[in-house]
Amino acid sequence: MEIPHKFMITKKLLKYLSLSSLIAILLLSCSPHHEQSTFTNAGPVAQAQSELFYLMFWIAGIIFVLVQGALIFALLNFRRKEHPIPGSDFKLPDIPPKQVHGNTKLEILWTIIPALILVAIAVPTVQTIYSTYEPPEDSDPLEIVAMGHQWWWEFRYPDEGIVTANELRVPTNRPVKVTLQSQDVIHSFWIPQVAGKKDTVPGNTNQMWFQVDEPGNYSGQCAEFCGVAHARMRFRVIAEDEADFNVWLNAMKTPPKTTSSEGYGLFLAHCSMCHSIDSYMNESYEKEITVQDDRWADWFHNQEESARVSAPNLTHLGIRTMLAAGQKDMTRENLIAWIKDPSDIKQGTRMQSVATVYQGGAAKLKEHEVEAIADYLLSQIPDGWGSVSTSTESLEEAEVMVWNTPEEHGEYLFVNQGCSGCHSLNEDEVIVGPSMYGLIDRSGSKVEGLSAEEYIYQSITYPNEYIVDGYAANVMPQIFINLSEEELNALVSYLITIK
Amino acid sequence: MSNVATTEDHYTSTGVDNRKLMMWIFLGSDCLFFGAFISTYLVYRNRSLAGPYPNEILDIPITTVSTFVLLMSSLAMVMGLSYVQQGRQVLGRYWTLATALLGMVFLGFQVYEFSHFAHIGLTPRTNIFGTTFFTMTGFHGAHVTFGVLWLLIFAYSRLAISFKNKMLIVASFISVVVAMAGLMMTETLDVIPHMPFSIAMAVTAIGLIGTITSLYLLKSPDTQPEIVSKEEGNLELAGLYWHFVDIVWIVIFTVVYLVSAKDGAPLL
Amino acid sequence: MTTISYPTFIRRPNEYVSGIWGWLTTVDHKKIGTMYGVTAFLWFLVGGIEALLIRLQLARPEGTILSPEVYNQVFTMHGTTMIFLVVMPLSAAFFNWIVPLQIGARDVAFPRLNAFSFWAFLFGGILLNLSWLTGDAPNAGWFAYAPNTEPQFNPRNGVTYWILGLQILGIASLAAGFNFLTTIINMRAPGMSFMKMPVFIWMTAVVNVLIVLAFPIITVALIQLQFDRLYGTHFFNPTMGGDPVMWQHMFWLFGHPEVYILILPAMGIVSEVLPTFSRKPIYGYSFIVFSGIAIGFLGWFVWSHHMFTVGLGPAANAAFSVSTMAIAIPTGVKIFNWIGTLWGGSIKINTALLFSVAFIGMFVIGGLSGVTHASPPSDAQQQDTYYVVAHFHYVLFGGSLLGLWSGVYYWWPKFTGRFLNEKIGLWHFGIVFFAFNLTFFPMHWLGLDGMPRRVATYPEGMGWDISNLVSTIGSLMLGVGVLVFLYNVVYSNLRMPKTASNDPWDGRTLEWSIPSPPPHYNFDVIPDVKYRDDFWYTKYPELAHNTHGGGSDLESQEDHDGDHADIHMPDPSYYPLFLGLGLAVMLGGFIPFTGHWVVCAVGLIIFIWSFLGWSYEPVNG
Repeated sequence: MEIPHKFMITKKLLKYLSLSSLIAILLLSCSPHHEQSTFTNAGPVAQAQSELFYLMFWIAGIIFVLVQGALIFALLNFRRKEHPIPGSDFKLPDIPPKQVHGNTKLEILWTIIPALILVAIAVPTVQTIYSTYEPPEDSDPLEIVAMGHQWWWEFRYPDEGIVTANELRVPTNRPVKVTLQSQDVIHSFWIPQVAGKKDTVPGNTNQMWFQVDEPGNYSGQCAEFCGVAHARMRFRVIAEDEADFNVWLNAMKTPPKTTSSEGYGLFLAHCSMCHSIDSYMNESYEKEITVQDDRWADWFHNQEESARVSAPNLTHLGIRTMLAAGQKDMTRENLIAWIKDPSDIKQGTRMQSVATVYQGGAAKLKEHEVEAIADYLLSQIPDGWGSVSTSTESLEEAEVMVWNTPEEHGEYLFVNQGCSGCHSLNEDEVIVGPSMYGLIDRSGSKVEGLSAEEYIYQSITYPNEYIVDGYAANVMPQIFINLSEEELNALVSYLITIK
Repeated sequence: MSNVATTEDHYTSTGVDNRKLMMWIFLGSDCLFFGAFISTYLVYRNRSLAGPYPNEILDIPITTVSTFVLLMSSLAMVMGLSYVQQGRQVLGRYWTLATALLGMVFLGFQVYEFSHFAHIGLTPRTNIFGTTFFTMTGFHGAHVTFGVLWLLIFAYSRLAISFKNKMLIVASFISVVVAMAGLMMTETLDVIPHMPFSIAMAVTAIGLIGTITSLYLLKSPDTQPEIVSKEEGNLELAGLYWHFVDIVWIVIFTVVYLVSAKDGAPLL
Repeated sequence: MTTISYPTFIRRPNEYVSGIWGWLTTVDHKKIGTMYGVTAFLWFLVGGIEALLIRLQLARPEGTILSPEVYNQVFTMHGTTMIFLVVMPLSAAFFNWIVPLQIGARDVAFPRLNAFSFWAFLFGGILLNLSWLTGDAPNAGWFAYAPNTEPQFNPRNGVTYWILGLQILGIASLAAGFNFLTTIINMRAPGMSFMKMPVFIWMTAVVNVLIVLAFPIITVALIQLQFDRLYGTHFFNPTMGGDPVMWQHMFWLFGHPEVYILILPAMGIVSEVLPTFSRKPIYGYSFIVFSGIAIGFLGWFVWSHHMFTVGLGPAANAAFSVSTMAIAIPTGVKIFNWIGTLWGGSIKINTALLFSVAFIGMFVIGGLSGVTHASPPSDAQQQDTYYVVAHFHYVLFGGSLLGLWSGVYYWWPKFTGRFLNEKIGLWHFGIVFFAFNLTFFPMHWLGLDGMPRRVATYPEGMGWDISNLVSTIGSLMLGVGVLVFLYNVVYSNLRMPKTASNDPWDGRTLEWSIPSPPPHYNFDVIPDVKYRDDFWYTKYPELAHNTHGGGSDLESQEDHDGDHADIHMPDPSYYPLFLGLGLAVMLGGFIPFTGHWVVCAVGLIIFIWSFLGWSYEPVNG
């Protein structure tokens, strides 16, 4: 068959080639904002990685032009000079060309030259491998631990005793040495403008380092496929100059302005089994790590029944800029939407599948309750952060309250510590936990040798040891940690009055 | 896959029979199969977080015996192939049967070892040692099992020619099973407290004697019809396979029972 | 040879059987090759639909066409399908069709085993895709990194389908590997020494060595993962001392040779197409051959370049970086020699040649971007981004698939006796070539702009919107290109006359010396080979005096009388079909659905029955 416009085809080929590269150049130039571009280097590590890429890119570019040029030239120049005769396809009016079998010298040449080029790439490669592995020896790096979780990031500052999540604050112009770990599956820690990625592998510990030159926000993202919400596992790096960073460090060790509100009780009742919120306290670092491990182990070994799983630390959530692992800006509206129906923002999130309050879909909370929790969380701002003026009022207010009787004190605690979120006062009504109605009548006989008061006291402090038949373990938060001996006794004396 | 079609009956480029060539390629491939299991075992040495550890559980003497049995089976294989190639078909098949039975004895040892370990508390789920040990040796055992079946079919196809012979073959199988049952009984001593060790050993001995006797009777002249034929069928292929599986066992024996036998709790 | 007669429940087919039963029982390498090709093309359509779903989901930020879970299933199945159900079996189709024809044999060494390979491939693919019907398709990526595939994180059955489907496909590939290696080593026509074999045969040999050595490793890794998932072992469970990185080592120790398993067949095809249409011998035959071997060999020492960010340490990364770069050298040698083949030739530009030339061009791009992530620091920014997606589509689509299409246009007249329509073919080429670049070139930019792979969606305002949209438009055009090819195939069968002569392209290798399509027995007389490109020098003896192939000093074969009645071809057999079916049903029965052991037992019975039947089946020929 006749091939029409043979020459046209090859010209078209050329045209397509140039067209696609033109499109590529257009694409390069037209989008304004590229927060994860690896071409914008905000620190020495990314810089070194880019330089290596540019070296290879230009070498590759030259080879590309030469090879494609030779290919297209050969294709165009050595076309068969034939005029197809209609009716007799594939006539070969020309004689076979010179039968060349090869040229050993040429072969050796085009083996050695690429080898030399590769040596020229390999030498700086190996140098950069080592220089991007450890921070410079004379530096004083900030040590942090980054833990990948399905699907959020935990950041620990072991030297400072601080735990936070999804938002990493670092000082500028100081190397940051990152220890990378994971409890569940493999994730990859990546801040494109600052440093290339490194995986967090369960059971193994990795390390990397980076340094940020200019203050600002840098976008990070999990780069290793880690399950259903992989695309929603982002984080933000906030780089500040040393002074601002130190303000933040101190703030993270300072109590929040308010400690108590309606939302606090609801938070304790529904959220606190997974989310810590009080890591500003002394000695809280080790506790947080242990509790987080316990939550994790609970879920890992008994996924069907566990009502808790490792979850982001919410201490001083009010000063974070984003929520749900970099999904939304931290606004009241967004936070309420997130608490109401986390899956709407992050499909697959464990918050929804594990927490009791979400069993069966969206939160089983009233609108005002969600708002109260959100308000409480947003009020978690370290004392003295930003405007200082109104900070101490509510704290003092809470502390000057006076109780006439222990029972009255206990009733206040029952509501404000969140017990009432799960435990009803009405007969046989089950919210989450057993009803408190008539507690005095049944508690005395539960465990031999324990009086009713002792039994109630024990089951508040060691909930898992005294699970009532038909209720799940690990649901009740360990609220006793927040309570003094006196408060616990007050709570017990209130509880035995409910009839 | 015994009779595989070849379109060119005799001519091959290398002069090697197609099936033999493929068997060699298969064995090369199988090297990587076992290589992967053995590498996993080696990489995972000393990573168990809980016992029992190798140094608490591996019984080197008893496995040495089973290794010796397997090596002897290779000798029997050589004898069998040699007789078949000389045209002494029935004698060859007798040795082939012996090879298969020795393979069964080896498998019996493995069953004994597995159940013994499970009894002490080591299963594939217990720890990393259990996980890697059972899968590696288990898949080796599966290879031996396949070889035993292959050899049995081969041997049976010429030996089971009279009622007497069939009975003797059945008797030899039963005897091997009895011997293994005897070994298993030593394992259950603490379950059946009043059974003395000697009874278990006696059962084992009866089984072994039965096996040897039935094989001897099978070998006696009046059971051997005069068949002289140079046809070796797949025996050479089966032989290659069998020797390979033996060699793999030597490597596994070295790696597990010699190299890692002293491994205990990891030094953390 | 045996005293046992084995009962046959179904009458054995004879050589005159035809129709469906003829296809089901065939052991003819040409029919099996056709079945491979047709089946793989159907899977290609399935994988292509999956690709379009991915692109539609990503066309705009915050796409909602697929839920994240379904998206994960779709991209997992897209990768698995394209690798195991499309490119590998399409290569197998060419192995089947071309290897016996090019080495001058009447069939492969083990025709029934060959049929078994095909059926196992078919049933394995079906088992893998049955998972869609359960709603639980595999969702952990084609690389199935532990512990995301461990039961605690992936409790449903999708990954188990994936494991067992791949086991069956692995067995199919291994059986084919044994078969083709034996065929190539043992069944070459008299006089065809190794260094006189066509380059395609050489590449096939290297590929099958890789298959035979690499698949046992993935088999073991899959067994270990299956045991972890179903029987509670701890191979990749870090809480019990297992190491997830071990999975990665095992997977990539297989996975990297697999990459060459995918590309070398296309390289072999191109090495046949270019000389034919340039009317010149391949330039630097021995260098092309040895660079192919070198690629296959070095391919074993580079697997950790898939793991540069896993944390193996700087020494390991440096070593694997250097070994990876070393692979660029033999690859470059191949490319230079292909250009050398075109140089000074008398080039006939048609669809087959254009696909081959485009293969070189696109493969060069893929190779060069490959070098940029052979360097670990640079790779730290590129690993798991769309840059990598662009890279491997340039080698897998721009490489393997364009090469395979070149082979389709080149050998189609040999397969069918008809030509594919050249005009439609040029449209096919033009659309595919343009759309391919439109789809995948922007992905380079996307990756460098920080877009990770395997994300079900992406936020607005990242600067990724336009590139993704362009890529999606390209992918839809690519779909059109595939439909044009399909139209060409239909058109050729319905409208094109059976005009192909024995040797329509003025070919060089033995397949062009026999009729198109070849008779059942291929060669009347097994040719006696004197030269590399023997058929070419038979046609042009005056060109032979300076050939490197050297004359053969082999004595002429014993005379054949040319009487076809003397040629005995192996009988058809239905046992390969049932053996493959039994294998798939048996392994499928390991998937823990209700009553699965019954299915497993049924499969075992079919398997044993057909195994024994196969063993005792008298074989003619």
